[in-house]
Amino acid sequence: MSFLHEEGGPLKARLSELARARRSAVVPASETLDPAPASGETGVPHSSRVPVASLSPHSSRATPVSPEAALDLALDVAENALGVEAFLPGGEWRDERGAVFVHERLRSDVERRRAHWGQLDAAPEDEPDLSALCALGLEHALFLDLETGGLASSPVFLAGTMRWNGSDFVLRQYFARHYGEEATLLAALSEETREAEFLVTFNGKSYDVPFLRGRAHVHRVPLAMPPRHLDLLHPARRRWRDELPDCRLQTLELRVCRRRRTGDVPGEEVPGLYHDYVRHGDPYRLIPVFHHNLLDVITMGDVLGALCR
Amino acid sequence: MQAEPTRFLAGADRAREASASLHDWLAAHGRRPENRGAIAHWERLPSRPPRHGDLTLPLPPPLAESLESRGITRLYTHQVHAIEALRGGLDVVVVTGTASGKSLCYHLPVLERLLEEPEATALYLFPTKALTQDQLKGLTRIALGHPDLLRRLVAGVYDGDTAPGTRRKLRDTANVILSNPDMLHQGILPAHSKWARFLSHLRFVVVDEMHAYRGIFGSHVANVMRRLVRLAAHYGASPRLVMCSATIRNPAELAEGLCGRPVTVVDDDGAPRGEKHFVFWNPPFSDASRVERRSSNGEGCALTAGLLEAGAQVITFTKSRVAAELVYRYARDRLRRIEPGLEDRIRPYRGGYLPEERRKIEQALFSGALRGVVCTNALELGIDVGGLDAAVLIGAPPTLASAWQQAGRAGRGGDPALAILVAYNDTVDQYLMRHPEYFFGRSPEAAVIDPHNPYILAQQLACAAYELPLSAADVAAFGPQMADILAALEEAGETRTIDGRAYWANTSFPSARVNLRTISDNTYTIMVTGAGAAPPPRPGNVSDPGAAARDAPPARADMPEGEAPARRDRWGRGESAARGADAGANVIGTVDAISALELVYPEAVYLHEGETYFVRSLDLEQKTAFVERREVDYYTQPVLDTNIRVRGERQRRGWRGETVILGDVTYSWQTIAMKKVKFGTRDSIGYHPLELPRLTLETVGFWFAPDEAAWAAVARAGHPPFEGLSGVRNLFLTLLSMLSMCDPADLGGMIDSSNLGRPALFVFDRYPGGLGFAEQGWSRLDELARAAYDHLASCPCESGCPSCVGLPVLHPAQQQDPDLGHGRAVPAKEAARTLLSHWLARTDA
Repeated sequence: MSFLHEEGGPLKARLSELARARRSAVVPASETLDPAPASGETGVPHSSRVPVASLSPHSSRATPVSPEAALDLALDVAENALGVEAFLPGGEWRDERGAVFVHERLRSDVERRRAHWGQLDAAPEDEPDLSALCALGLEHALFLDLETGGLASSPVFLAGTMRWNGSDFVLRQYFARHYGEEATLLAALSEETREAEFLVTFNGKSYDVPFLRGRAHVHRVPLAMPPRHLDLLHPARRRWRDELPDCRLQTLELRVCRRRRTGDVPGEEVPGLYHDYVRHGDPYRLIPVFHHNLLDVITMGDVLGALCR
Repeated sequence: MQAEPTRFLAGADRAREASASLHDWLAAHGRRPENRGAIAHWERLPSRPPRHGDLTLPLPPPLAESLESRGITRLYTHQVHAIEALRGGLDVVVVTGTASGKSLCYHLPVLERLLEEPEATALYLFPTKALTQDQLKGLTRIALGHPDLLRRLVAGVYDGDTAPGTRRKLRDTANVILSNPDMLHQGILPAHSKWARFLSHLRFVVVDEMHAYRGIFGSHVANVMRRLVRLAAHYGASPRLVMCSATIRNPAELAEGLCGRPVTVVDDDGAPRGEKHFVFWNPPFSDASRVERRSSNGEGCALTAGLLEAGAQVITFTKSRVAAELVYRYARDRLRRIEPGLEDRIRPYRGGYLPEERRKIEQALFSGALRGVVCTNALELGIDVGGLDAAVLIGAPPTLASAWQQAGRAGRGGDPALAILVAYNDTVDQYLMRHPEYFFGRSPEAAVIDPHNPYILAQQLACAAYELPLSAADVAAFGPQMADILAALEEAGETRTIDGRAYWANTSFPSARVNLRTISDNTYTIMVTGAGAAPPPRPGNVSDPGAAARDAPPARADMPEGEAPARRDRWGRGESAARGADAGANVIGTVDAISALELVYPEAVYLHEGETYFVRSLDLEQKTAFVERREVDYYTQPVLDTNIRVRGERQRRGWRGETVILGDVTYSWQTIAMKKVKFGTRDSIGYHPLELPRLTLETVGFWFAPDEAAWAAVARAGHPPFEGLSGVRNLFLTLLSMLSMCDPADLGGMIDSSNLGRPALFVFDRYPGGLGFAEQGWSRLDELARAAYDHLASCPCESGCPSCVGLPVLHPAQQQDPDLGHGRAVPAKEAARTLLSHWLARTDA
């Protein structure tokens, strides 16, 4: 911020009139005008597959729209919507605070089914958490991985979960389309985590869980975590420390799960991509983040299986 | 509270007797023929017994017992008032003298609360790390006085030096955390979710040395406090505020400015005072021309040595590290000649010492092994050295509050103490010499802050948005301009407003970019290149910028023997204060953009700690000046082309027939050339045009154009009017800096005709957006004019001198040699006096 030489600068009086479309039961709200992208509150029913109209990036700063024109404009905009919703089917989950976008798929939709899916043979003897999980059964476990803004008070914007439904893995991604949806993300996630007995993460004891708890506290959202927590980092280290150069998740993915990623987005770029998305709404660069998150969670499942073989 | 120093040495008794005769010695010294006239003033401050009070509800027994075990059976009036007010749910500012037991005003309520409510927490904030350590000791001492307290208290210092493991423990378990505003701003608030426990039970926030939070620093800290309160409220807490301040003119105003809500002033000082003699020593003129005076360093040194020889324990304060070294060396040489052995029992003391070294010095002073210390202002605050017999202040410190704190080092409760202020031959010191009532009367110094300065606010709002999204509910705290500023931040891509809440929308970490001591991130780094790189930085304190700043002495050519009064924050904080990751061995300082083009332009000679550096290049993009150490026999002066333009008016008032306007101005300047001047002879040996950009500053100032009658009065008396107004300007700038506790470099002044069509005097803040100094001047113009007149009337010079109307080009550039004003008029003393007396004779409209 260089204020000394700037023309105008922060003292410049701004003309700002925030024309905000009202929420209506039928009509998808038109975009919020002026600097803010629209809120997540729309009239689109939860089950609707229509891409949420309110996130179109291109009509910002337009002149206020008259009610009659709103419907036409909304439909126009709906067809041109370029949010991630256009690429990742899903819907909204709503509570009194707002909404969050939830994308759900089966693993068999994205990968060829393999025999070892869901298989937990036997845990090593000296790993009590692994043994307990094997005894309980994989259906009681919830895998979790987060994508966040990277800094102490930055938000969590993507929470990826995976659970075993007996025959396939169900993959879910809770996505805050803008900063205002984080609270609802946490609430929605909590609905899922409260059902599970065992949380499974990679480095979650140091990072993901404290992070979530911190953000939940800030937003005053009650967060119900599963009673038990298996952090795969530690058994993985114990098992493969001598065989592998390091125990980073991607190293395990390559060497243990034998999967190679191509075109992955580097972790340090993720926060910037999110901020860009909120500002511009361009999904193309953000989709790889979803993909990255998805692969992380899937890999965790495979690592667990490898540990219990 | 300070324990009685224990004394083990035989010399102790001699010292006790000595103090009674110290002022006899001084009186005799002043009567010597060569010192005639040196004693400008002798103030005897009589002793005063303690005044106690009683709490309506006594302290809980563990606390009372702990105090008793340390000899405290009753509390002073101000302690009682403070505790009662806090118990009653009020916020408090305690304004009492040094060593008045101010810290009990906060330790006691905090400990009392901890006993009632085990989950309660308290945050203590201090402006320096050294003070923080001392107060932790003080708090722990009280807790040690009773097992209940010891069990309950979990306290620790949380600052840049705290180890990571300790940090986590403190965050998770401490109930009293001692820290500083910088750490709060950068380390605690941005990571507030890790502090949820501490913040949600926060009951007290203690701000000690409140008067240190003024100017830019204070304006930033005011916003940091609002961020703290906002976050505490988010976690459900509403802490009480306890502030402690040295005596200033406007403690309530400053306190309320810092915290944004009304504060109760507690100033009925019940602490006892020993008798103290405060003497003003003005070095006599060095010759009959009565322009130059004898060296203040030399005078101060002679006084120090004399006092030591008379058996006293003395602390001597100087304004710069270089001066401290000089005084120490001269005193040592002299003592070696006169009383061999004694020279080993004085030591220099500077900021940047490691804690163990400091402790050794403190212990040595306590025990009496060390007789004298020569130091910079590093020892001014807190630091438990007990009481000494005498304090010598060489050069008036930047504020009266500092002067009283330094003088407060002398005094052992019982024996009369002696403080001597030795004046430099500059306007401020000479003014004090002639106007002791300024010093000893009700404090004229107002601490000024402007928390809503848009440039400061923009930086702080970025930090606030990062912590928690901002909404309309925050306007009450951050002011009506919040919305405009957020809009600007949004345009710049820093924030994004969604549903009326402004979120941080960026991967950067705003608090890391915001320096609480500067107004913008436009700071230039000064880096040494080539052979002769600067010595590695001291383990300095980022949160103790004052020490480093005062230790960086530029030479002013109008000072005899190159003595250099210290400059403060704007000038650059020395190597220990180089920002962020640049603090490597070859960064010797920083300077802000406003000064950079006047100080470190290419081929400039830059003075740092008494050594000359040559500026090889100035990189405007990287904001770095590359210098190399070089012995040169000349120095350089920038030649500036300046311009001022009125942008808008805020208020106007009538003052003695003139109309004085407070408003927004744009000041622009450009360094167009450089002059080379030989040391010593002051011959001009070169003049070189320069190509440097023109800078613009949008700020706040006041101005007025003297009317026809005023000019006529000057003309009638046969004096040059423009030069008269120029003299008035110089006086106003110096006096205003005294009244508003800022550095003269923080103000600018110009005479300009282009705006009003006739010559007008402009006085403005040299910071974008203004900081409230010029506004102080506008509202206290009468005081300024009177002080200016009195000063002129009592100046013994013939037609003007550095200590009254000053010199033609009054410029904040520290290395300016104003004698060589480029063809500008020499301010005329009589003309200035005529103008001032003309105005003061008129009644206020």
